Amino acid sequence: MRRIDWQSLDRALTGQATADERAALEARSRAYPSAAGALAGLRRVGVVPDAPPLARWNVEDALAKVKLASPETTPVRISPLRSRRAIAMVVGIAAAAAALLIVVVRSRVVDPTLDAATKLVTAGSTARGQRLRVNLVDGTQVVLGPESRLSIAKEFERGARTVVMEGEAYFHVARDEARPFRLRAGSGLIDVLGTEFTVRAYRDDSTVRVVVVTGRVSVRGLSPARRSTKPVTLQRGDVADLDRGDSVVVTHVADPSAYLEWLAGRLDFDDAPLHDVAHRLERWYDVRIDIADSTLALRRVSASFTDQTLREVLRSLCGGLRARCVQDGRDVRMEAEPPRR
Amino acid sequence: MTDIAEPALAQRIRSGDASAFDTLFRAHYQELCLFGYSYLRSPEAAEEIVQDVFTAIWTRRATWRVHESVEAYLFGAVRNRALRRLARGRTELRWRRGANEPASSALGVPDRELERAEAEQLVRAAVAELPERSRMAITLRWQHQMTYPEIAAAMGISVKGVEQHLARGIKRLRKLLTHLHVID
Repeated sequence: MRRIDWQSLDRALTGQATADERAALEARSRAYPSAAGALAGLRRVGVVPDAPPLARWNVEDALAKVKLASPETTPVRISPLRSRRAIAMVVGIAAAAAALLIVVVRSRVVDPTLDAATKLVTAGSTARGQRLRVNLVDGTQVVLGPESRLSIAKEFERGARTVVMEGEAYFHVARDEARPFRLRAGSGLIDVLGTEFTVRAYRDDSTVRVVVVTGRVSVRGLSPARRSTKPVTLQRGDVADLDRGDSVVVTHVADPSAYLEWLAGRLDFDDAPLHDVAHRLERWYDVRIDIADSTLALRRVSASFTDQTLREVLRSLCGGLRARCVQDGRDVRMEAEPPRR
Repeated sequence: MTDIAEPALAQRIRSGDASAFDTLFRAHYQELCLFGYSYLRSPEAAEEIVQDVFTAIWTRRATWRVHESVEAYLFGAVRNRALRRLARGRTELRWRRGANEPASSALGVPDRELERAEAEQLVRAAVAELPERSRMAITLRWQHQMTYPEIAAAMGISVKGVEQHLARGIKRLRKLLTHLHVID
């Protein structure tokens, strides 16, 4: 039988053995079960004897988590005329929230409808052109969009998990059946068990929009008298728009992740009127946009931008609309191009 | 020794290509978790450090530089974080000595199969008992199929150092593997 030394063994284990060497090792494996076993062991040296199976680590969940952990690092680009504003750092916020909560000595029962007596503390807020990740003490992760604010009940840690938000936010709520997670957004009240969803409730939005990515939430409106209406249950892919009159319109989309793209620095518009687009751009880039005529403001836009500068966005928008866009510092003016004669 | 041309994947990630990042992540995530586990002995802790490594890559992608292979970088980064965490927690690296116990001799298992399984256990236990650096070098070489320069990059040492760690590990395994008829 051909002699096997360390060099030939190393070549065999790294796939570089000659045909001769391979044949010799195979012959050995047939002759001695111990050799076959030892070779199998050497090929799996990194596999610890009592290690969990690889499937223990869920790749897609982890990827989503990593992406979530990095949104503040795909900075929203501020218009090139200004210095890039530092996107607020996150870790400090979580620590601050935790510290605030520790101060609470005795928990009071929090009225789940959030009456005036519910004491709130701000867990995070963003200015225009910013995004912020906030980790709450219960393990819930929140990413705030630009010009948004998240407040939590002072008793959050010990009492009911009650939070209030304004603006746009993504929530990945930690599961805790004993303490339901309740979110007040604009005129909507959202009850959650453990799930992922996004909410848009800017003051000037006419509706509160909730998109469920995983799990299940229930949404209901709060009439001005704070008498809650009947809740509507939403599931994965449901997009609910709650208007000021407390009626909920639910549509269903196959892929709700499209609504998460702002997390990764992407702005998506699907057949949206230009004035809505302008609104989002104002928040995103911290500018003022003036649309000179109302016909132009109603023109519909479908577009998607990832990490582009305002100048690039304006160029493609105005090119597509045949409009003239003039940027002067933080002011942008859009007007229809005069018709050609 | 010259630097190997930088992998295209790393270049794409540096330029902000999210799908390239996803590809890299999916290709290595579980394997790296297992690798981290071999240090930390906790699936959750392993997962955390691997996610930290990828978060750091994506966060600082614009300045991400890979000198050997992307794999070498990833294993090196996971190892560094694992060791840092161990040092911080003063947790001892515990190797399960029980792995030396003979495989259970269930009735009806043919002798050959038993002998094979026992040999595999013996080898893996012997590797697990090696000093950390020898074990790392051997693991990267035989399980992850890396070249010497790649291992050097992953471990942050010279190629000469890699040779030494491998030689040290091999020396300790020599007797066992001769006994098991793998080498002469």
